[in-house]
Amino acid sequence: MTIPVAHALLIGRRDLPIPEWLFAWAAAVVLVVSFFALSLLWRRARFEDDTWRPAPAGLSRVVASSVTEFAAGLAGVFLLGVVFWSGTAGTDLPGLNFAPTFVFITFWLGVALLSVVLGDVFRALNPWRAIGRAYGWGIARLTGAPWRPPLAYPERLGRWPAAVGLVAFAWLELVYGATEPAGLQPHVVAIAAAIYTAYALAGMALFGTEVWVRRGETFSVYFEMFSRLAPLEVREGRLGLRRPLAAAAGWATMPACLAIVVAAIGITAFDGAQEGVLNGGINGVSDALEGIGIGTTASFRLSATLFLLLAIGAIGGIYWAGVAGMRTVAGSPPLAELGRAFAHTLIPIALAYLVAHYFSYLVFGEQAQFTYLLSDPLGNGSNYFGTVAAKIDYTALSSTAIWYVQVAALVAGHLTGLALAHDRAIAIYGDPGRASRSQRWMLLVMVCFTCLGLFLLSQANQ
Amino acid sequence: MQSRKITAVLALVVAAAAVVLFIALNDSSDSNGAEDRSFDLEFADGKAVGGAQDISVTQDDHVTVTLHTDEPAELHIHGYELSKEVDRGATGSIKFTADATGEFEVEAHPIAHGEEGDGVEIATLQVNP
Repeated sequence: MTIPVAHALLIGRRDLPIPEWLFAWAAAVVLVVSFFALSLLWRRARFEDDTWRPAPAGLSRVVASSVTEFAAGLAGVFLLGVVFWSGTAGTDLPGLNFAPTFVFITFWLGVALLSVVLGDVFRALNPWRAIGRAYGWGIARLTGAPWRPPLAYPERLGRWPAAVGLVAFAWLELVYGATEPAGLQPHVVAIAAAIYTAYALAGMALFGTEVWVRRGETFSVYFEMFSRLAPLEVREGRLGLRRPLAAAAGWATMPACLAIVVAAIGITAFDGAQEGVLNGGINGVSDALEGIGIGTTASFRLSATLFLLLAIGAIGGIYWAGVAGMRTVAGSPPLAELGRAFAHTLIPIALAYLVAHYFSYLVFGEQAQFTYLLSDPLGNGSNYFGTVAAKIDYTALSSTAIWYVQVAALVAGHLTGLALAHDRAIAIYGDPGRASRSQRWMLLVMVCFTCLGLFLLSQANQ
Repeated sequence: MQSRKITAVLALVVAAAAVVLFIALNDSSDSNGAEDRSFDLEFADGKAVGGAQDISVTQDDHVTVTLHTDEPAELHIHGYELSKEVDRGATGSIKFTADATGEFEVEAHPIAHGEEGDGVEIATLQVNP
């Protein structure tokens, strides 16, 4: 039996596949542009320097003040509370309840894009960090001594807890949510949020708030990754400007950073493919599992989980194949070190995939978020702000505009990834000749990712 | 150095040619005038007869979707959020102008005891620009 795959939300509308002529032209442009990029090789690293200039003191005082920080933390805790409340007390129709749209569109997609532009905004808004800091502050007030976490974080774990959390979050939306007949039900979102909150607070209680936020807290780690592309950063309590992209170079300093960016690309690729190219495979395996006596829904979930992990593995495989090729260049560091050294060059690709697959979803979803879901978060007919009668205007974005944004995002991500990789090659190999030989391999990796992205967009939904 | 410059110039020329062709091809894909399009869908035994249909129209076409059903059901066009209740053994139509592009699900929700059931996909409406 075939279970119709649906997005967790906004069921009923999908983007049109990009037309063949656009696919062909975009792929051709990518190849030509890459060819051109190879001929442009600069000889000195340009993005490895993350010089930071402070912004005017007045602006800095407003943005980075403790009052702003407190207000942002409070807002974060309040919004988490609204998710619990609407998820448990509201309607179980996903499209009419505040919680699913807020978590999977406004939060997951919106904050990621905001981070690319404004920097690490989630650090201030993070409800779990706010609770952890308030707890530490309270303990310090009561005992007169600063609070100390009971355990030292095992540093070789790096960001693995965050990487696992990322895949779990994607699984909830793309595998669990897709098999529900009516999408991802709000009460499930509330339960998941409660479990995650308990997990995050436990992590902070054991290892310390800031330690956990930088390593184990999935959303902090994920959004901070994108904020590395932004030109704004708060450093030692002051807001300042830095070169866009420059901070990416210093991102992958602990274990599992590569796993996070590969998983980020893999889950988006899986989402794009599960309604198209992977549909047959998922249903085939699902039928086979059903044949050996597993229930329909469980079979489908097992099968989709398998393909989700395969998609992440495939992205990792492409990357490692390129790194192995690069390793053939004389003077290369060991394979594992080389692989880690280029992890940050995939951040723009992850962003490009995110924009290409979810741009329209965000635009349409936010129309709901800021009108009827705001006025009627429970879906019970209340009308707090008088906007309950509004509808999503699907003519707000034409399909042609969506196509151009999708293709432009992939091409821009491709170019940015290439620029970062070239820079890193110069830093590693020193000699421009060897650097450019190594970069033929990264070029191949980037062309693979970009053409895969275009291919997924061009596939008709089943 | 010389060969690098030649490569760069060559790449630029190809890129410029690509852009020109791209624009030329894109313009020719525009369509002419809105048409009247009608589609008949049949719902029997809780399923779409002949499986879910693929319906493809051009933006701004005047579309009529007609449902024949053997049980009371609501015809629902997602995205456009249009619906129409149809009685057992009867026929009901929704007429609209396809102004929003995208792929939209067309569902039939069987109605039993005044309650609307889960939707069954009976067609996919593709509105092309």
